[in-house]
Amino acid sequence: MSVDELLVKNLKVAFSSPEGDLVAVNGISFQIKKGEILALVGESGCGKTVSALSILRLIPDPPGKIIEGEIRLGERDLLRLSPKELRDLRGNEIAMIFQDPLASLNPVLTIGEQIIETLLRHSKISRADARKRTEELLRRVEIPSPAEKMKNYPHQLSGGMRQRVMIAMALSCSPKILIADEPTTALDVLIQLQILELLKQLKEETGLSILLITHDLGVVRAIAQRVLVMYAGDIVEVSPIDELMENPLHPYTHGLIESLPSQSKGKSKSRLPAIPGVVPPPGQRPAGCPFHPRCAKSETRCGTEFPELKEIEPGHWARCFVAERGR
Amino acid sequence: MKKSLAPLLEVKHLQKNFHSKNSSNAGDLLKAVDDISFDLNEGEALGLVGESGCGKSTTARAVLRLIEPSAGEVLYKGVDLLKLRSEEMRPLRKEMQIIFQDPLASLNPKRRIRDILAEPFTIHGMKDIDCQQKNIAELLQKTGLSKEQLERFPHEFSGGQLQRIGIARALALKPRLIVADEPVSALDVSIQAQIVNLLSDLKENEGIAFLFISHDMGVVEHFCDRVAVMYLGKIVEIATTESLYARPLHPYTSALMAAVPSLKDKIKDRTVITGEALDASDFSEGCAFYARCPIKEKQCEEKSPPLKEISPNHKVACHLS
Repeated sequence: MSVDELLVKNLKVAFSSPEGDLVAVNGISFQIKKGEILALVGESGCGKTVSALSILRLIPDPPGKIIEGEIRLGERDLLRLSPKELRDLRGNEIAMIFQDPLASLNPVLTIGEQIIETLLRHSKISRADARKRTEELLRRVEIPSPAEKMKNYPHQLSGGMRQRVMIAMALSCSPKILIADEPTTALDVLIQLQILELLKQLKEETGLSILLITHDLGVVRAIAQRVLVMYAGDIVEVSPIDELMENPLHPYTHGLIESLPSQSKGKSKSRLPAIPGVVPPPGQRPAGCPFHPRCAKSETRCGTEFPELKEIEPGHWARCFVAERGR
Repeated sequence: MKKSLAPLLEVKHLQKNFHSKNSSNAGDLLKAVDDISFDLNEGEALGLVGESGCGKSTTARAVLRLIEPSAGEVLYKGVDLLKLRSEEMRPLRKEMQIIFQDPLASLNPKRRIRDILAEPFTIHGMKDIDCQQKNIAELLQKTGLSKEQLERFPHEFSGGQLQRIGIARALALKPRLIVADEPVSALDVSIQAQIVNLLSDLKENEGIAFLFISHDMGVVEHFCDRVAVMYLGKIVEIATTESLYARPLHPYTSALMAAVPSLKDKIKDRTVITGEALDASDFSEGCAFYARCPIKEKQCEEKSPPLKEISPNHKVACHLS
């Protein structure tokens, strides 16, 4: 279980703008273990999607730029691959699914045709075999009457079904790692539960590693083993999921959990404990700890020094002076 | 809840049909909203929950006559809105406002915040500039915005601030009823809590009634006094929030609640409801939830269950409850 599938080291990504380079991801490091669902959590603009896109080198350059870092998959550094090697990597070893499946599917091709095309592009099989395999894949993601559904165009399917098609397509070349960017955010709760259940099954049956990007701690709780919490381009906390829910060390994580209405159950109709203020816009990062202007526990040095990510309890890391000292 | 007073809003047998585009049953009517009745008191929030396509937004829009209902009555302070001509509606429109999910899409990108907030006054004949400015200052203060922000354009704001502007605009004419259509769904959790708190203040301090549409069962439990659960155009359960969350009677309500990813338990403890909601045009008789229901019986396929009162203020449409 503890084999590292993918290792990200000191990844720094910036976007150029008229006001100079805006740092979106500020030197983050993490690893995805084999057969693990690792969640990357944070609010919009915290850099979670940019981090994920960087792994597949999908950041539009310009304006985006990977300034430094290493992304290791086995012996290779993904940041040094040639365009040909990158094409082989994408889909075959690392696949990705997005929030809006309708935007990711070709509207004028049937879904069957799109998966067959993927298979033919990536592996040397006949068209007939590709067709058969497509049907199997659709059955695998629990699409009812797959042979029939293959003839449908994306607009004829519901949101949940489309996301299943995307997952089938992502699985078509048996990747080792699946990056799922908000895969259930656009879906209704009952359908969300079905898709989460499917991802969990796939992980258990095939040993797939999943990097799950989401803003929803409930989704994380449902299927992830470990969590990275990001704020303003930094990882502020890393922890196994159970530990994080019971004992969040970073005040930001604590605030996120507290501000969920489902958490304040029983506390009558009192006000929700909101985190005051807003996420700093890119380019206006406060000095010191970027969370300190919104932090209830902030001290003088939080405004001047940038805390390091430190292991405070075994396997549980946080980037906070207050947490470091113990509560 | 003020039981003695007549409700602010009474909706009776509201119906909205659309013509089906599907070629196989062209000419058939799609009942997007099918015989819905509820009432709403001053200072009360009624949640409308359900999956996409269940008719919750259509209901809200039909109540405000932003779309024309096919049948039914909408009584606002005892007056049937559906019988009024549009010029008779206009003075009442001041009292009924709407907030949308995507605040950026609902604010004119080419106008400054000052102009956006002044427009409701201008439209309703309050053209005195000083008076407008005084009212705008008051709106800013209520919604947590600052004076400097008035000269900016919508794209310069974050989602949470835009939603505050949307709320400020809705409050301009001192409404008594606000329809909030997924007002916090597009916002980050930490911001979501700020906006929910703002809406709670308005409800409690100003006595504004809310028709609150959301798919988020957690937010609804926190904000609403009563909740109506919709499935394929019908209300399948309506109750006070306490009663509904403590004892959901309809199997669909239970499934919705169980499906909300909770921070406390993992996925394995829950039953996954299979299948998806039908198209409202695809079923004719029996209970609409029949195909997906975990506890269905023979009678459910044959006749549609009526909405009946099981305990005080708790109604459900299920043969088996």
